[in-house]
Amino acid sequence: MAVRVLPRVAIACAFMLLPPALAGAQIRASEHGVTAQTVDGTTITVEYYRPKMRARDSLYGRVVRWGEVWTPGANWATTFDVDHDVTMNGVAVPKGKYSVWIEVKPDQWTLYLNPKSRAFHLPEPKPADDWIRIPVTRETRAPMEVLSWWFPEVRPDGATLAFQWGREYVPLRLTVPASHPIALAADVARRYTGAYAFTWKEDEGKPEKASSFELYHEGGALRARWDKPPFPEFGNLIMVPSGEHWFWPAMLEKGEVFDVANDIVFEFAVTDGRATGFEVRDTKDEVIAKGTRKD
Amino acid sequence: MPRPGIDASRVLPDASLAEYSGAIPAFQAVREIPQIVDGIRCQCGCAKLPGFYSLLSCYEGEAMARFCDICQGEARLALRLHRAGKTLDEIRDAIDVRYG
Repeated sequence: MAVRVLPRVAIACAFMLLPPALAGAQIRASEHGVTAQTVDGTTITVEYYRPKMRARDSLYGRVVRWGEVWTPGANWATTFDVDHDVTMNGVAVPKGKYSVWIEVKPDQWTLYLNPKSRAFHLPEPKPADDWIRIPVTRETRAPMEVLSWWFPEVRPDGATLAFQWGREYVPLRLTVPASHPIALAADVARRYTGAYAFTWKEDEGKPEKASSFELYHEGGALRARWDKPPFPEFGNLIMVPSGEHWFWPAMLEKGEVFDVANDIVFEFAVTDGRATGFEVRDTKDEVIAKGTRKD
Repeated sequence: MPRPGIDASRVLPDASLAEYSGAIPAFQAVREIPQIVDGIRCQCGCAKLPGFYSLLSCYEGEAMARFCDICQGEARLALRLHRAGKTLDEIRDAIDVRYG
């Protein structure tokens, strides 16, 4: 017995002699992890502890019991933190920080967001009325050793957040609010619609260098057709309202906005309810181009 | 809020901007309306730096506005809107929209 105990005492004493920083470091069976994604000004952050399979073949039904309300992580409950109201699988989720739980059944998994974000995984909690209930679907995939949360898809209007441990992959479709809605009423758009001669600053006084910039209203948005854009992606734009007579150009892919170029702004001059032209200004508020109404 | 009695006495003079001539119009704008600029929060991220009070701080001392397009744009836009008769609140709103 003495032979077994003495080395442990010696090891314990050795740890006590370590500098504080080293003594504080620990190897954990489930290390801490964090993943975050910003979409159109909304930031989503998941913090969790990451259990490993460790050669346990049947995680669900054994390590995680059927019917258990389990945090998809370990130790302190996984947290979901979002700084704007979003939807998750179509269910409204107000901005805030939540602990994440899943009720795991053979036929159906249900995710819960608990407004009490700081919670230990034990004792097993019971879903309460103020928990947000979100039905989820799951897929079976090649096994993943370490429980992982990540964002496999990012869209202009949201993202897919997913987690996987072992073979079970659970995607969660998030939608975020548009930071600047593109919709513009037809009667408002009418102030701006029409054909403009677009001239870069360095081409001022050279009308032969002007290109055609046409604004029209379609699908509830103000759109632009540009015959000589600086990049092909600027050939067809949506003009995103950003202030009084201010618009940001937004590039499209398959008809959907994929990038709002908010480092330049189109400022329209409006007289008697009708735009007479516009200036294009850069980040330094310098005029880099002008447009003059042709019609 | 702008500090009572604030002025542009600590704003770098043009003479010290020889290597940053492109920034001179912005510094001139700030010297023209320091009481307005002191009521604006800069959106470039410098508001988290120690000693920062307002956009005016970006033009004093180390004056990061020398090489920051956002600081320069905010000051130039502030002057333009001030000349157009906009109030401080309206200028703040416009800068937050444009640079926020």
